[in-house]
This record gives sequence, C-alpha cells and structure tokens, in this order.
Amino acid sequence: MVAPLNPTIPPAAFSSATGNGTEPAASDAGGGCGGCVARGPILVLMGSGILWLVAASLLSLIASVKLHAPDFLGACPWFTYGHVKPAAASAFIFGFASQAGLGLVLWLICRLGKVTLCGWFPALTGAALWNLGVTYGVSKVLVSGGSGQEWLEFPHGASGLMMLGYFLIAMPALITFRKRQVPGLSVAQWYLLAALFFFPWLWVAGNALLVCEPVRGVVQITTGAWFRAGLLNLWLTPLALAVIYALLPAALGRPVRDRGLAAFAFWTLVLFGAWTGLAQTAPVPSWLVSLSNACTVAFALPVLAVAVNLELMLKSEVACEDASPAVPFLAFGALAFILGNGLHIFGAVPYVAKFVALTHYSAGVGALLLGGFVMMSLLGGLTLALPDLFEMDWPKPQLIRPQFGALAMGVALTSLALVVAGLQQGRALRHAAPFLDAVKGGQLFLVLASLGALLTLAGVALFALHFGLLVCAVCRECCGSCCGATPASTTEGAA
Amino acid sequence: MLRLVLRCDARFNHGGCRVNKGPFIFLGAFASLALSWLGLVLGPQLQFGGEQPQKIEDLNVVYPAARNGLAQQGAEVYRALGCQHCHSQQVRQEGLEFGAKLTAPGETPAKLAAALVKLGLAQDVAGANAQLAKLPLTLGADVELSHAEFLVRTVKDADDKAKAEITFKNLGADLGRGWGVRMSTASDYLFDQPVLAGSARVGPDLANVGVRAPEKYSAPWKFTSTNTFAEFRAWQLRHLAEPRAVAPGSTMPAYRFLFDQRAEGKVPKHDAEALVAYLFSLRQDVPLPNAPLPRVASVKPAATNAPAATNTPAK
Repeated sequence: MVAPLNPTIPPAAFSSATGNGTEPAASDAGGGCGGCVARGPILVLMGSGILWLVAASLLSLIASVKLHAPDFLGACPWFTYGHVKPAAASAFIFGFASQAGLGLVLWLICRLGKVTLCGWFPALTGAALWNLGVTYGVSKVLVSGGSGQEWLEFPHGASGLMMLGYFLIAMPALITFRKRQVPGLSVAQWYLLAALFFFPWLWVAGNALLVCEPVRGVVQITTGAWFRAGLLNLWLTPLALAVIYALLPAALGRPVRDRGLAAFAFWTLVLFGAWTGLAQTAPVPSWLVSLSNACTVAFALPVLAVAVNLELMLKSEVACEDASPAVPFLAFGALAFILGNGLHIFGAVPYVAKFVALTHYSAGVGALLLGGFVMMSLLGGLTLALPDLFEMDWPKPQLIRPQFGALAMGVALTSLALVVAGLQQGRALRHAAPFLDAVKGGQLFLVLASLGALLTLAGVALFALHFGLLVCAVCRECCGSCCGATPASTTEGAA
Repeated sequence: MLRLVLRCDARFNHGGCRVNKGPFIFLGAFASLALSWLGLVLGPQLQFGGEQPQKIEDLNVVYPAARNGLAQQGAEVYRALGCQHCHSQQVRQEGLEFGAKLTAPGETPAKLAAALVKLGLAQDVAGANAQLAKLPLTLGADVELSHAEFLVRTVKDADDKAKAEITFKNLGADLGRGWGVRMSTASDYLFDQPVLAGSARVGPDLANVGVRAPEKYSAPWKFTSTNTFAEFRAWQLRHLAEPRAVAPGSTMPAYRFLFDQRAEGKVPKHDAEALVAYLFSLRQDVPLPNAPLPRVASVKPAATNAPAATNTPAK
C-alpha cells in the first residue's frame, strides 16, 4: 500500500541531524526560477514576523506592568495603557502571527506539494506592503490611539495596504497550490486553504462594517464579536493547526491517526468558529447571546476531536527518541489549544459567566490561546522551517531548549495569573465590597502576569538572537547569490 | 520526517478516491462563514440596525438623544485614549424581584379587610382594618410574578375600586454596586460611534457615571440624581490629574498630559474638558419598555444633560 517515495524529493533537513548534501527544496521542481529567489518572500515574512514578535512582546510587557504600576512611563502619551495594549495586540496578531503564519503557509504549500513558489515577486511585494501597513497601523495606534474596535484598531490606509499585500501573497500561494505535484489533500492543507479563504472575508467585512462605514449601535458589538472570533478561530487557529498537523506527526515519526476524526474536527471548527465571541453580558437581544453560547459549547467538538487525534498519535507505537527540537513547541501549542478553549467554554457557562465576564479571566484565556497556542505552534514551525529554508542548521542548537523553557514558563505564568486574577476579581465584584478592594486583591496576580510577560520577552529575544546568528552564519558562508536573496530586514534581527 | 507525512498522505490518496477536495473545502468554508455572518451581522442589522430613538411618554423625552458638541468631542478623546480597554459601559441585571402593594382603598373596606384576612396578611378583620389605615400596604415582596398577579387579583375581586399594583425591583451585582438602575439595552448605544461598551473592568463601569455621586466614587457607589456639573467637573479633573489623590489604591494612570502646567497650577486642556463633558453625558437611567424602572426610583433627568425631547437626534 505504501507508495514508493519519489526519489527526487529531497530529504527534509528538519532534525538536528546534518542537512549536508540536501538539495535545495525549491529547486527540484521549479527548475527555471532559481530556488534561492523563490525563498525570498518566505524568509522576509518569517524574518519580519520575528521582529514584530519582539516588538509585540515588549509592548505587552509595558502594558502588563502598567496594570499594577500605572505611572510607569506615565509622562508619555504614546505609552498610555489605552495605546500600548491595542498596539501590542495588533503587532502580535498582524505583525507576527499573520505574517509568520503566511510565511509558513507558503513554505508548507511548497513542501507538501513538492513545488517551487510561483510568483515570488508579487509575494515579495505583498510582504513589503503588509509590513508597511502594519508599521503605519501600529505607529498610528501608539501616537494617536486606535479606532476603538478591538483588533481592528488600524486606520483605513493601513488596512488597505495589508489587504493588497495579502492578495499579492495569497494569489501566488494558491497558484503554487494548484501546481502541486502530490495529488489529494492532507489535513494540514485543508486548514491552509480554509485560512487563506477566511482572512480576506473577515478583514474586508470587519473593516468595512466597523471602521469605514460603521453599522449603528449594538450591531457593532455583534459584528465585532463575529470578527474577533473569526480572526482567532478561522484564521490564526487554522494557521497554527496546519503547522501542528503538518509537522508534529512528521517530527514524532507517527502519522495522523484518524483522518475521519480530523475531518470532523475541521468541519466543526469551521462551522462553529465564528460564533463563539459574543460575551454573555453583551447588551444585545438574548437570542443572540444564547446562540453564541450554544456554539461556544459546541466548539468543544473540534477541540475534543483534535485532542483525541493528537492523543492517539502520542499513544501509538514508540518512535525514535531523537525527536526534533520543535516537538516541545508544537506539543505545548496543541496543549494550549485544548486548555485555552476549555477555559473559554468553561467561562461561557451561564453560572460561571456571571463571575468571570468582564474580568481579567478573558485576558488570561486570550494569553493562553494567542501566546500559548498560536505563538508556540508558529515558533515550532519556524524552528523547523528556517534551517530548511536556509539549508543550514541552527548555529547553537543548545539555545533552543532555554528558548522553549522561557517561553513556556512565561506564557503559563501569564495565563494562569490572569485567570486567577479574573476569578478573584469576579468573586470580589459579586459582593458589595468597594471596587478598590477588588483591585487591591488582584495586584499580586498582575505582578506575576508581568513576570510571565518578562519571561516571554526573554524567550522571544533569545529566539530572535538565534535567528540573527543563523542569518549571520548564512551570510558568512553563502555565495553571493544567496546573500542577494537574504532580505535586508532579516539581517536587522542580528543586531 | 516530512517524508513520513508525504508517505502517510500518499497512502490515503492511493488507497481511496483521487477526488480533488479543494473546491469542496472552499464551498464548505464559504457556507459556514456565510452562516455565521448572517447570524451575527445581517440578522442583528435587520432586527435593530434601523432602530430609531423612542418617545418615553412618562418623562416626555425622546431617548436616546444625540450628545452635544463638546461631549461628542469628548467621546473621541475617550476613544483615542483607549479608556474602553479598562472601563466597560454596560450594566448587567440578573432578573427582577416582584411584589404587590395596595395604595388606596376602594368603596367597600369590609370586603377588602376580609380579603386581607383570607390572604393571611391579618389575623382578623380588626387587624386588617388597622393595616388599611396606614397605606400603602405591602401585599407581598420577593414573590413570583404569578403570585404577585394573584395578590392584586384577589384584592381587585374583593373591591374593584381599590388601587393595587404589582411592584418590582431590578436585581444584580452591578445594580447593588450602584453602577446603574437597570440593565443596558441596545437602545442605549444608538448614537455611540464607535460603540465603546468595553470588555474589561480593570476600572469601574462608567455607563452611568454622569449620575453618580462624585464624592462617593471610591465606593460604596451611590446612585444619585443630584449631580451638578460643576461638582462633577471638579472631581473628574482632579481624578484625571492625580487619580491616587482622590481614590487611594486606584490603578488608573495619571493623565498629566491632558493639563497645562502654568503658574496658577494645572490648567485642563480642551481635551480634558471635552472628556469630562462626555463622562457627564453617560447615563442610562431612562425607563424603557424592555428595561423598566421601579416607579419609586423616580429619577428625572437633570436639566443640564438630559436627553431632552427638543434635541434633534443626529442622522
């Protein structure tokens, strides 16, 4: 039954084993358009994604500290909490997660389909436009505040540039996908395709209905909830799940166990994903809240299906122990997906929602889903993709473990501290005690959350440093043509 | 490792059908996102996207009314400073508590007294008459709506000229804290652009900040209708400049950049004045058909920032 491997497929240089003698992945199928050039846009996306992650982590640390030390950087209006918090979220979602995710999408499409990226030039232009848009948007948020719609804080110009950039990246991605040499679709490819389709709809509809020509009154609340749930569950989640589904089985040496279950997880995720965002307390007619609540509970279906599938995979026969350094990242991401969504569903239970709505609880769940699940999965993907794209191993593989350690502890501490702070705050606010007593009671947890943010920043900085070392090593060793393809922005990471 | 993925993939695709599932995925994804869009965007838009301000007969006001110019500028300042990241503007309510009371006797007090005895509110007719002497009389408190209806019906049956009515009380932790008198409804946000209902309560809820007693801001918060703008403005400006001087232990940042440092002290900039005007306009205390207010609370909108009938709603 096992199809013989096509001898022209280059062995992937994923593990810490030497990648010497591997043919450039991109050159085997493309022939004409050189492999190095085709990798340019992918590396630009990933490299600038890493830089944005450093910026986002720094901004979230500032925001986190300001929650318990309000006068920290207080003199500067740019760094007031109401600017830093949305700037951090936007830099993370659009600077890092979307961008590194798009880079990984391109890489996975090429890798899984055994093709070279077609249309590297539009993709490169798209990456530049996207970065321009995010830079403009984040600076605008820092200087003069956001639009007031969560996760849609950017001005029209920035969103437009990003949309244009997105099309310039997505079109080559789809054309490359059409030209794939491997028939059929893998689980990871379902998620990739769906994510590529969802983002433009969400982005255009969200911006059009909330920022450009805003709908009236509380329709903004339901539209915003739809947009945020969609962006999280139908864009960032599929990107991260695609990375997990493509790489975790490979890294562990075990295939995805149950494809039927994986399909079930995919379709239920797609069906319920955009419904889960409406807060229980929202001042909208109760049929909307009930519907959203029911879908939030139903969202347990895809989460459980993914959990069972991954558990089956981990339970299957023992595989080689010299697993790739990315495995902890991917496994942590998968665990955070299950835990984070579990907490989200728990918080939507009407009795619990009375306590946790409008507290730090949702921030803690968000930290677990965005930081734990999305960031860790994508960083795991980058840990595998970057050496593969550069055809060179990480210069200091011993750095990967401390990176993971700092990130895992940081994310876990932040999320746990915020969830506990939320529960404490919710309990205090149920009683008639003065509001300031509730604030004072949560201070310790907020300090712990800042400590977690600091650890996360340390891990991210270490990752960026390591990336810089990798770029330096490539530049030192590589021939002129390779250096030409190394984007200017990525070399900045070395600094 | 990737080889394994490819092999695993190849196994499935060689074993089964070779149908290209790409279009399927696109169609399925389109249908499911369209469904959620219909439910959460188009549905609400059709249901209340075209909602207009309504006339509240009791108070003779049109609610909600558009903000005045300075308050509207203040809304922009509020948004630009990102206040909504810490302050929600939504009051939650967790139900109603019903009761019934007798406010005036009718023409046949004897029958009424008998009814009161029958209801167990008095030992005998003499006791009932003593109770009828000091009206209003509480017939029941903290009961089910059906029981409150029963109480009123019994009294009316005994004496149909007697005045008995069902009373209610809005319940909820937010209301107990004094953050409002009723739940927030869709109508309250009709003229907000953007709607800044908020998603966190790092700081207190501000939905009714314009009608709360300023001297009691650090809780227990009391709902009042006696705010004067001068008092409110002085407190808010001081709080913006030095939050911890007014509310010890507060984690609100000091917005010193909203003030000019001059010889005579801190002088609020235009933005600070606009912000205070906006905060003063925040009130959700008009009874609505779907969020009624008990009559005893009789909170008449103050003249200064009332959603007055003469205000022309913005388009």
